[in-house]
Amino acid sequence: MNLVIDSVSKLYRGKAWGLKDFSLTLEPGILGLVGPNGAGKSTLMRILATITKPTEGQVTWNGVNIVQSPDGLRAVLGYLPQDFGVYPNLNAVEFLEYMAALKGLAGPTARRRIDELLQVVNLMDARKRLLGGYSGGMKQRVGIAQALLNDPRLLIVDEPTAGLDPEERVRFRNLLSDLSGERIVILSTHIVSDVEAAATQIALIRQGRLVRCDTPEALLRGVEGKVWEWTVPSPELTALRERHLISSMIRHSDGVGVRAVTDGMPAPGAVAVPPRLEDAYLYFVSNGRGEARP
Amino acid sequence: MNAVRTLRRVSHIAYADLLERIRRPGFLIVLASAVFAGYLFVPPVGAGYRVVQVGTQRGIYDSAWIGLMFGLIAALHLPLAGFFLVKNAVERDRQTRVGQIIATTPTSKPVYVVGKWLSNLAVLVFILSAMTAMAAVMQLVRAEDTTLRLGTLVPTIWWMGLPVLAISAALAVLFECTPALRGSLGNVVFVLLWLGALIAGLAGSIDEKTGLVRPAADLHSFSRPMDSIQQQVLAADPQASVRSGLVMAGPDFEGTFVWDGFSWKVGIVLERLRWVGLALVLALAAAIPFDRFDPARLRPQPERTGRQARRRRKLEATRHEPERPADAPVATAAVLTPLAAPARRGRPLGVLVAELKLMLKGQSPFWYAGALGLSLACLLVPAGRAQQYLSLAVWLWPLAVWSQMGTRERRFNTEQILFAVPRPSLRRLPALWLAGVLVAVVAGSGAWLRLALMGETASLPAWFVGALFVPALALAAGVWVGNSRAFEAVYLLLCYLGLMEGVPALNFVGASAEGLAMGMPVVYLAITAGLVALAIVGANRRKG
Repeated sequence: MNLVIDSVSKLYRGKAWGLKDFSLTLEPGILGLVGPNGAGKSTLMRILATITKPTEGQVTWNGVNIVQSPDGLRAVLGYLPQDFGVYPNLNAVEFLEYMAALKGLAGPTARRRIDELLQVVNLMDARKRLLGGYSGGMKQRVGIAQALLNDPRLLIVDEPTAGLDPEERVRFRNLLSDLSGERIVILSTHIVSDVEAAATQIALIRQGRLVRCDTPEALLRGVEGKVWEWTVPSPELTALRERHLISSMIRHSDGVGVRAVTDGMPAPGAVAVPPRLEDAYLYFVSNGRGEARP
Repeated sequence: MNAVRTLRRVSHIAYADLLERIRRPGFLIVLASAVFAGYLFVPPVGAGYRVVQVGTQRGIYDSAWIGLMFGLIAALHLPLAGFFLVKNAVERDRQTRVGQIIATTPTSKPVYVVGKWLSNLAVLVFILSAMTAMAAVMQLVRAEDTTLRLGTLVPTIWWMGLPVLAISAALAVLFECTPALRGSLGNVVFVLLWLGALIAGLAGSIDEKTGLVRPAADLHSFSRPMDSIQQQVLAADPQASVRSGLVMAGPDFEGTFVWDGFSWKVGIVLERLRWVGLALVLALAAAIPFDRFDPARLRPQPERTGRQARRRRKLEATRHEPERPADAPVATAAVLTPLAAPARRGRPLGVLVAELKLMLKGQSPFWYAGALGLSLACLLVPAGRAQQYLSLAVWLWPLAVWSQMGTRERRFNTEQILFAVPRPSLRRLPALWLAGVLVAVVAGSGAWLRLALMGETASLPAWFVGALFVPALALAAGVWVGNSRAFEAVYLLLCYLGLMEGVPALNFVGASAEGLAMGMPVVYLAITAGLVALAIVGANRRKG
């Protein structure tokens, strides 16, 4: 089972490239697709979900071109878009039954699956209530359930934790970890902590291009010895921000504790500390790649 | 100072809204359609039809006559198309959620609705301008008189058309702000108003004794120019026929005459501006029902029944999740039973049932009671004019249900989810169409049962062709246009002309002997197949 993205580009009508020359090969596991807003994550997701056609390049699912023959992939695809709606006059069961019929699930199988999924997304008690009365987080969970209806081999989830409360976020991350195995899961987010624990690979994307794709461990190794912490007086903070890539700050009684990602020692007294994934993300995605500016 | 600020707000609301509309690619299509219609309005000699004919003659194509032709179209027909075109200014702010941002600014409700009215009017003025330009071009193209007199051409088109368009634009805002008139019911009410105004205007301006048009301050302003034409024709030949028609076909055409034109005196212009003033009042009236984008005012409709109140309370209660005990077991992915194999085949019956459920869920008990009442009335009321009205009502009753076809997924933003399933168009659209057909058959059961009981063997199949055709029209229009207004406009016109006026070619249920003789059921069956295919093509295009 593999998904091959080969030199894919997408040119929008406004003549802006949403994606440029993007290549990646995916095997079973969880890929965290991380990048800033507008980086091209949703464009890539929509192409992989057969919603949008690429302008250039091709995508193959087990060797079959998904633009020319999308139905083979669609039969095993689960997709949760970033922005989606539900029918307000249906309840969760009716909506999922509708989606199950469209996906071709047989009646008894669909009913059993819906029941199980409603337990997993914690909507059993609200299953008979109209979706029009659901909160944003509850609708998001209905979306997650519909994506899992057909036990997908390729699961694409675009910003899935948006609108979920902290408890549900953790629950969803655990669900994704449990689901991985003999399937490919692509999880797009701009929140690094969403992919930190679950992802087996992380692809960093910026301005429509793949910056780097590696395991979380390899990404962390890439910034080993480049993350520094030290304390500076508050007035110097603005100038410091212009020179270095600051990943976090914390106010102390004697100034501001600063954490920066930079190739060389940024200031006397700065101490090299173990990197976090967020540091690696900032280092590889930022334009200056952590190099100190004059 | 306050007045300047208010004017600034109004103009900016109108300007931003106008830019948003005219920058959409669809607007170019609208303008192109207006230009093409302008081309058809001025047929060459021998085209087989004439636009505006008096007796057996028409005016020579000079600036006065062409101005009158385009003025009549602008006053009589453009307001109807225009209403359906612009009735989305407030809805767009609601859908894009810009409305909630506007609601937090000091912009008052009257300022907002007047701004939207001006934006609506500006869109229609763009179209009127395109038609005016086309009128001038067509005079030169037909070249019966190549002297272009803009001082005659332009005022006739604009003073006839502009006031009616202003009212149409105002009613669009008023209807959008009035909850009961926001949807399909409002569209039906507008068409009835448009027809009523047309019929009342025509009836009111004809002298019963002489049968001639008498000058009056009518909304559409056709009585004064028509009176001027009739006087001129009768002065030349007192025995001449002055029976007028907007679009005439057939051989009753003997030649042209030169019409002297009509002078738009200050008094008449002021009279026309009074209609614009009425339009402003209508637009301002929209501020009264306007909810200022408060979602809390959207949901609880006036509760006529205890059931509605219970439903509202239930809906509000569901916003909060049920409390979970702290020690409640948490289900994990382990509870999911793996599926043996991917589902590759569709479930047509399952999809049909689901589409039907989706279509009918949320309809009030009043709707079902009305459908039942109409069916019973069809069976019990004797043949005659009342039966004709009942037949019309039967075909209009499910309008709101059919209107959702092909537009629902865009309205509720479920497109991406639906298009990610295998063969999304082929699995869903035929089922959706059949669900619409079932609604037609069940809601109209009284009508076709009556035909069956009376042994109308020719009319019965024709009725079912109508039941196949209408949902296909709704589906194709919904998929291609993305909203229900195009279907509603075309369908309401078809109902009026085909079912009420009895135009055989437009009677989609083949209720006339002439229509049956012309083989119209077969034609509509072919059109139905074409529309379903068109809907599938359209859905695939939208997906790409």
